[in-house]
Amino acid sequence: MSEDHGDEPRPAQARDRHADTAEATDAELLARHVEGDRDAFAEIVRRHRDRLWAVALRTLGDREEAADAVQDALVSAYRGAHTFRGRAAVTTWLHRITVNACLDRARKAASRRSAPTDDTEHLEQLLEPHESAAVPAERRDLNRQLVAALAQLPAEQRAALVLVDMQGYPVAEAAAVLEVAVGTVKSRCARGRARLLPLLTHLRPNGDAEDKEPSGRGRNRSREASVPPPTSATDTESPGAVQGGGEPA
Amino acid sequence: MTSTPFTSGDPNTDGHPDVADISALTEGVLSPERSADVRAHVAECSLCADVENSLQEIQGALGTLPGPTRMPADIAGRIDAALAAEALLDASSLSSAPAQGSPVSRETGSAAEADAASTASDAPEPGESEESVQHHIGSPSRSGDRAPDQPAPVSRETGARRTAASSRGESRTSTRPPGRSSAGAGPGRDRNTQRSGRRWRRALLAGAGAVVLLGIGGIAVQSFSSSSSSETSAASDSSRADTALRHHVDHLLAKNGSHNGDTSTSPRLKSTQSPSADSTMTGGTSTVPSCVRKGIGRTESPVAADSQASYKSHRGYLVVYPHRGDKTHRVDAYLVNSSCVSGDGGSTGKVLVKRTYPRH
Repeated sequence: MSEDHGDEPRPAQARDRHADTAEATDAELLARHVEGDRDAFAEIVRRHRDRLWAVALRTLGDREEAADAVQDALVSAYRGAHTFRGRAAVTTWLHRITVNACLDRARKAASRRSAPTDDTEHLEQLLEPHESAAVPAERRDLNRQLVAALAQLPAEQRAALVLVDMQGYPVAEAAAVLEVAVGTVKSRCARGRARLLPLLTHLRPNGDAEDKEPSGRGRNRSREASVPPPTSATDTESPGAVQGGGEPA
Repeated sequence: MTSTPFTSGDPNTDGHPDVADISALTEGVLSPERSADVRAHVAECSLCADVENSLQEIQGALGTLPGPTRMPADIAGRIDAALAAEALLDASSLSSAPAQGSPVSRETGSAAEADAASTASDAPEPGESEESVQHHIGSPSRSGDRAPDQPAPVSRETGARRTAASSRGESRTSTRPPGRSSAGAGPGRDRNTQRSGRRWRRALLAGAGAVVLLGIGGIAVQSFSSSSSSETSAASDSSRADTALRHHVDHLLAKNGSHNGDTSTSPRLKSTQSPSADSTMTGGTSTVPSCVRKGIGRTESPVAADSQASYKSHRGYLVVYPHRGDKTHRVDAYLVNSSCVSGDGGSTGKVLVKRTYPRH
C-alpha cells in the first residue's frame, strides 16, 4: 500500500493510461486514489467495470437500473476509498458495493411494483448479444424461461445464483461479496435452483418437446404428484440445520 | 426444508424428499443426519435421482446463458463522467481538507460550499428547493444538516447529480407522478432526470478544465446553472436524438388523443389504427408488424406506433406502450429495426432504442 512515486495530482483531463498506472495492483491504485492521484480510480474502473456490469445487469434484469446501480456503487467507492481496509481484495470490495446497490434497488423495485416484476420485457436485452440463430430453439426457449424465472426469485437468491452459477465466482468469493457465510451462499443457490427446476420439467432440451403442458407434465412420470413444488419449502430455512446464516428468504 | 424426516410438512410427498432438500444435499448444506436420509433415498429412487440431475442441468444452463461481457460504451462513458464530476468536486474544494482525512466530508463540504457560494438563498428558492427536496428524499442528512461525517452508503446520490438538480432550472417536477416516491427509483432517478443528468454531466465534463482554472466551486456551479450554451455545445448526438425521439413520442400520443394518460388508450388506438389489434404477438392483423412486436416482446396493445421513426442514424418502427408499473404517467418507447418486416416472417425485429418518457 505504500506509495512512494510521489505523483503530483495530474490534471483531470489526463486520462491516458500511464505505464505505472497500468502495472499497479488494485490496492496500490486505490491507495494512490486516496492520496489524490486522479488517474488511479479510473484505472480501477476500467479493470472491473465489465464484470460489475454483468453482475448488476443479471441481478437487476434492467439496463437502466443496472447502470444506475453500478454508477452509484462506483461513485460510492470513489468517495469511500479511504474506508477500504484491505481485508478483502479490491475487486471483492467493489463487487460488494455493487451487489448491495443492486439489492437495494431490487427491494425498492419489488416494493413499488404491483406486479412482481416487469423484467420479462427485458429478456431479449439480457440475452444479447451472444444468442445467435444457431442456438436450438429449445435452448432459446429455456434461456428466456430461465431469465424470466430468475426475475421471480428473491433478490438474495438471485444474487447468489448470478455470482456462483452464472458468473462462476467461487462460493467463498461470493460469500465475501455478499457478506454472508459460505453455507448461506450454498443454501441460497440450492433454494434458487430448486425454484427454477419446474422449468426443466417441460422445457428440457432432450425432453418431450411435444408435451409442453403448463402443469409440467413433460416428464414421463408425473413428478408433480409425488414431489411437492419447490416453493412449498424454499421460503423457510430451519435454524437448526447446517445451513449457514439462516436469514429469511 | 427442515431437519425432520422426509414426510415432514407435506402430505403429498409419499416419502420423497423436497426438491429443495435434494438441492441442498447437492450443496452439502443439509444437517448430517438429514443428509444421510436424503442421500439414501435418492440412491434408490429414480424419480428423485432425476430431480438431482435436473438441478445440475439448471446449474449448467445458468452457467451457459448468453449474457453481457462488456459494459456498453454509453454506460461506461456516463460513469466516467460521474466520476469526473466527483473529481471536479474534489478540485473545487480548494484542497480545504487533506486528502487523507475524510473524503466524504470533504466532498460534502465542497458541495455545501458550492451551493452556498453560488446562490446564498439556494435552498429557500421555491423552484430550487423543490428539486432539492426531490433529490434528497433518500438522503435527508444532506439536504439539511449536512452532517459532515456521514459515511457514504451505497445508494446515496452523487454530488454531481445533486448539484445538477439545483443548477438546472427545468421543471422536471412534472415528470415525476405525484405520490411516486423518489425512493422508488432511487434518489432522483426518474429516467428522464437521469438523461438530463447525463447531459449535464457531459457539459460538466467538457467544462471541467475551465472550472479547475476558476478554482472556485461556487462560481463554477453558478456558471453552469446560468449557461445554456454549455448544454448545447456539449450536448451530444445522443441527447439531441433523445429529445427528437421524445418529441416524436409526444406527437404520436397527442395524435392518438391520450393526453389524459388514462389506461384506456389502448382501445382507442385499436379504433383509430388497428381495429383488430389483439394482445398476442402473433396477431397478424395488428398494425404493428408481428416481427416488431416480437422484438419488443410485450404482449399488450401499444398505445401508439409509427413505422417511420428515427433515432440518430437508425430508422425503424416506433412503438409506444404504457410503462409497466406506472401506466398512467409514463410510457415506454421502443424503436425497432423494421427490416424484419420485409424479410421472412420468422425473423425478429431488433430493438434499437428503448426509452421511458413521462406522459403529458
